[in-house]
Amino acid sequence: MIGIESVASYLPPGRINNLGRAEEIGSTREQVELRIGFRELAIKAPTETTLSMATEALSRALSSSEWGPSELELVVVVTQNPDRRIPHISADLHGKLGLPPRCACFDIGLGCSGYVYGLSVVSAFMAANGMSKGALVTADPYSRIVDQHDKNTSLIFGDGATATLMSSSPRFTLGSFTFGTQGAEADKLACNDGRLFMNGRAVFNFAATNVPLDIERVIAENGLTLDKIDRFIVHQGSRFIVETIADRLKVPREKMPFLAAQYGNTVSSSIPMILAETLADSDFQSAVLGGFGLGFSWASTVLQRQKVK
Amino acid sequence: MKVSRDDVVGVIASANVVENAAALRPSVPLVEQGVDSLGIFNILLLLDQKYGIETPDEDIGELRTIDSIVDYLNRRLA
Repeated sequence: MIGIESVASYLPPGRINNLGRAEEIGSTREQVELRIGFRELAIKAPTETTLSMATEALSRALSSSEWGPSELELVVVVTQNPDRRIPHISADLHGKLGLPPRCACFDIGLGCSGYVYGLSVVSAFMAANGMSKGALVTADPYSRIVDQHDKNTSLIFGDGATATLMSSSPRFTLGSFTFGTQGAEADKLACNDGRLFMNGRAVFNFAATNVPLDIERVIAENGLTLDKIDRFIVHQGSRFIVETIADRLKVPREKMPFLAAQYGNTVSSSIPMILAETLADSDFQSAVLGGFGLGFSWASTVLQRQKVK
Repeated sequence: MKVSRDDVVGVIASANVVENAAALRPSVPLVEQGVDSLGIFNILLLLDQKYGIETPDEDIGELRTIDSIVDYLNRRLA
């Protein structure tokens, strides 16, 4: 069974101080702290690229694993902000790290639900093709498309990248997945002419309505109940949306933590960013992953820790 | 059945966006009583779900106080 071996992350060192500029953007320090939740946003240096961030994340994952780059059979990158449209960035990443010729590479164009979709795609692709070692990389620097004066978006998105190593003898197995799309609402969160537009109310309504239901559905489809789940790791859209989802599910907020205050909503990297910090925490045996956003789309699954090999 | 102030205050309390919903003044804008725009979104969603309506974005401007929300809902549900 294909599952997660380890997760590594890369946050660029640059930070935007949201608390310091809240009034200037038309918000307040209190709203930033208590509602939006992102005190700071990670921002890439002008010299950094989607490829350099992806490379750093995957290099970190490989350097802390027992495998070498030569063993990788698959690399999938989730992004909607590649450095160039052609070729696929996973091929550039392959070249940058000198990966073996028999390593398959392709990209997935999804936003905040992309990591959970990616886990399903990578695990299914590896299983179908008899592969034992693959990597799922997320790198989607929104600072490229966010207007830093737009109140609706400029206090939210941060830059980051992650790499998840997946293997046939994993530390965490994946349960069944659930997915959904509300395409009629897709233009409520979209990039038009190179600039991100977001209808915050539509995004909130979509997430607050659909995500709790989908989490209940994925738990039931995996033969579990809410009380059997140790941790809920959902996309860090904002503190308010994470807390609203927890409240609607009647899950204690500490079981569904908001942990992105120091770096922002990193789009498809937000869930693996938390996994990179918490997988070593042996207190949790089971976790629900819930991704949602652009599209509007959503996807959920359940992680189960395996006994030490 | 007409929507009352108490009905709306009850929904605001369940939205968990203000310390004491019962203490809110009905004719004073909610944003002046500590409810921010995200809190308004949550209140409107709960009202929409409770009363089976869809409040369009262009109507939000007239939903500033508890009393104006009561009037709006009663018009929509008439």
